[in-house]
Amino acid sequence: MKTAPLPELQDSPEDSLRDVAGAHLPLPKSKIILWVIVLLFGSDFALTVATNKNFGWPTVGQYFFNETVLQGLWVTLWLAVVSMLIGVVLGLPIAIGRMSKDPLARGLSNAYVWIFRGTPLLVQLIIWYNLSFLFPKIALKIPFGPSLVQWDANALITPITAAIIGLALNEAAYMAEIIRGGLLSVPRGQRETAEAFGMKPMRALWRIIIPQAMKTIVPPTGNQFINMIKATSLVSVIAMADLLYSVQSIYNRTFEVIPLLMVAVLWYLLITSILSYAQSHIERYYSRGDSMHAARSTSDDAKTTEEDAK
Amino acid sequence: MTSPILRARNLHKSFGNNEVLKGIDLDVAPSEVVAILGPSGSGKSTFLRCINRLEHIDKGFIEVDGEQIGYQLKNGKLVALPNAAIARQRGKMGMVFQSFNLFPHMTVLQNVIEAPVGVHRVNKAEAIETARELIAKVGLSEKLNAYPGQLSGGQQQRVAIARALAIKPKILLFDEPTSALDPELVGEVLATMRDLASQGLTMIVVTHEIGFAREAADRVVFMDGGYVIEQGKPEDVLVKPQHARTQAFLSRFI
Repeated sequence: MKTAPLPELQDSPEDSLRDVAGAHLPLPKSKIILWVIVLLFGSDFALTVATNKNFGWPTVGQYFFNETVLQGLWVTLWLAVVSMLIGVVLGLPIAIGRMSKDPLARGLSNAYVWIFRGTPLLVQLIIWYNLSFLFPKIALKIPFGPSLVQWDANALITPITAAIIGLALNEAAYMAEIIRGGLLSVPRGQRETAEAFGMKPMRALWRIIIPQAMKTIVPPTGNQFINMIKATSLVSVIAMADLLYSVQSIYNRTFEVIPLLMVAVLWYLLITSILSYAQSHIERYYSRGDSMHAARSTSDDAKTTEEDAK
Repeated sequence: MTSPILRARNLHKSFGNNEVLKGIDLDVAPSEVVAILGPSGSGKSTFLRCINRLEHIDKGFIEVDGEQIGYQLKNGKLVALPNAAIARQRGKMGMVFQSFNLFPHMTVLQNVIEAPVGVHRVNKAEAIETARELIAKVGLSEKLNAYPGQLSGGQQQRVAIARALAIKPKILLFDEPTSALDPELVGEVLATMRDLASQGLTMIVVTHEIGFAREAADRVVFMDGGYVIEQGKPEDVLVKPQHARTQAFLSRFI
């Protein structure tokens, strides 16, 4: 077959200037003005806060590592971790129950989420703390029959148990919804494939579904954990000595209300900042299977060059 | 004649009011390669999914390797099997899906050893060795530690085939294995399947690839409207189809 001659390239004198590799960016005037305005207002506000004697910064420094404060901080941390763990562990079966075909499992899970998500956490904490008013005795018994073991509610419900039960059961309701969303985000074909290869439902869940759901579950769970750190401050109403309760106990004595609240605020900010940082790392881990676009495009390019060479 | 490895009798399956299978009877002999052809909506994929109980049949029965799928005869009464027993039955069948369905959070090697190690309790070192051989067989040795997202569609489907082979299945089920692939990638997957067909594996292949059916299948089954309309040797069914609907279907490929 005869090939037609290629048309000659038409050059123009400006061509050497048109190479985009040598292009300049225009000065972003409006952006610079905005930066200057924000920095001016921001630094002025920062200076005002820093020099405002009412904040009592020296007092903040004095109490930042105070023993009572650190003890409160410790209580806040372990209370949040324990409640969160229980919340996640309870949330998973509730999430699965809500997705189940079995009306009993679905009904129970729905009722759980309905009650614990539908009422204020503060009220739940107070009810748990005052459980002995409702049920003086707590017993393990055969329905409508005799009881096997029996406890005194007053002895069983301390501020600690009330705080853990209250926070964890409430958290479970929210985690159930987050986990359910994650499980739903995994394509149906993955479950089918796992089953087609002879995996039992539990194994399919642990090996195939949950690892993929984690990508969707982690970001809102980090959010929940940060919420939980702050929600622990509610337990100060049931005389649990958390971070907020500790600074309150100090300022009730010294009347340095704002400086001590600032101590608590700075600690809360510090913890939540560390958590956000950790969260971003966990997220990166769970998206390992799909953040491969760079690698993929290079291998595609390599393939095209190979084919071109042929 | 050897006893069939798959026996399906009078299969009926409805989705709501839509009856998709209206009485399918089919035997497949060991080492036989059966290609199921038919227009979309003819029920061929549903039939395949019924074999490993991804869909539950409403009537009739399926027997694989002498065992009824999903049920058991106990003192003359038919009783549904528990999940664990069904999982064990499924372990005898390897399946290759239209959309590959590799596990995206696992590497190629992990995908292939997952079922042998986790379901069939094969020793891990042994499973890895078998997996390496199978992955080499489908020509992807250099992709052992790649994630599915890094592979082309054709490569993913070849990994899926290796994964299905890794459980040493009695039957391999292919559900339109090339339908989701770009035209230039279909060839590599069909070549792999042709290779398997020549090695004496029992294969049931739902496909639109008439060429594959002609060259690699021992038998072609043509389905339409929930029935098996016509079946026989590829050279008979594909070259001189008896039924008007088979003729109409095939005429579009010539």
